[in-house]
Amino acid sequence: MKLAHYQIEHIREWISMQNIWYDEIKDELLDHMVCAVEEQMEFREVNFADALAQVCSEVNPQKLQRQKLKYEHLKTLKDTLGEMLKLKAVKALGLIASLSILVALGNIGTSPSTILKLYMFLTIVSVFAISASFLFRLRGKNPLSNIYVVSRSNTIISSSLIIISLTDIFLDDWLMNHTVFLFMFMGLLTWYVISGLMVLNDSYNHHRHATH
Amino acid sequence: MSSSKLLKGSLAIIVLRLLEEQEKMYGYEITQKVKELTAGEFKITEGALYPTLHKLEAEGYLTTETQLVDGRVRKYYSLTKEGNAEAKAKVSELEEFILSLQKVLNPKLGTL
Repeated sequence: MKLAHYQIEHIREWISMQNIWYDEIKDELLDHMVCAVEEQMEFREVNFADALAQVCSEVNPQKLQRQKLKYEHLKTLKDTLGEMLKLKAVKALGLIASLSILVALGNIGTSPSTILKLYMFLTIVSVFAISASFLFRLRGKNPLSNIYVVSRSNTIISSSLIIISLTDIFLDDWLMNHTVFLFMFMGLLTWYVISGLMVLNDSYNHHRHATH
Repeated sequence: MSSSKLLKGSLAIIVLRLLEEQEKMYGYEITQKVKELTAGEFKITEGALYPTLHKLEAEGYLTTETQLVDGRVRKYYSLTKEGNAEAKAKVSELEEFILSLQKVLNPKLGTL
């Protein structure tokens, strides 16, 4: 038994009230629910309202969205680590440039503490600015269809912030007394941030082509 | 451990196996196929199925395509090359495990 257009729209309306950000989850849920309602009406011989009530009581859209976000965050981190291992020319140049600036700062007598604070500040500002530039370029598109890039950007920004915050809380004093490790930490973080931004750039390009 | 927990633990393998045979399937079709194959013994809920599909997709084992069906979007899943290899490896691993489990649960079978 096929549902009428107004019945499908009724289900679509219910889904739109569930605070789901992802268009693809909405689409997938709609198809699943329509199939389930059609089956209930056909084999259990119940009316549309009863079949829909039964199906609505069985689905949990919020859980689906949470799980999807979790897998996407993990995938973004995995992709970033993959990028780190590839070490492309642009990343190598970025690393050399940032480390050269840091070494130059060290040579002109700037204290390790100032270098670290300045480095962390510039890293966060750069991640925010570059991520914002991707999102700004997507402003003309349907906001909900941009959620994939937003989510990946969120992973890169959040993970960078967490690394910086934890280092500031637990390793700050130790790094001040071990300058070699301080530079190693900054090198690794720069490497991570550049890799993350390259993953974000790939996601942006992929999304832009897919939605053209 | 309840049977639903056992089923949840094997769900990824079930999905990979079905897609190995069917080329491409959509979510509800998978739930119905499992129900049909097990004569209603295994009932897969959307809460278990879609997270598994999304995880396999994120891991690169599944790829997706969408089609417009009766005015709504339908998302089809199919195996990638890596997914195909993973399906074969996981099914064979599970078969060996079931065989070993049978020997433990019913030692007489092992001596036949």
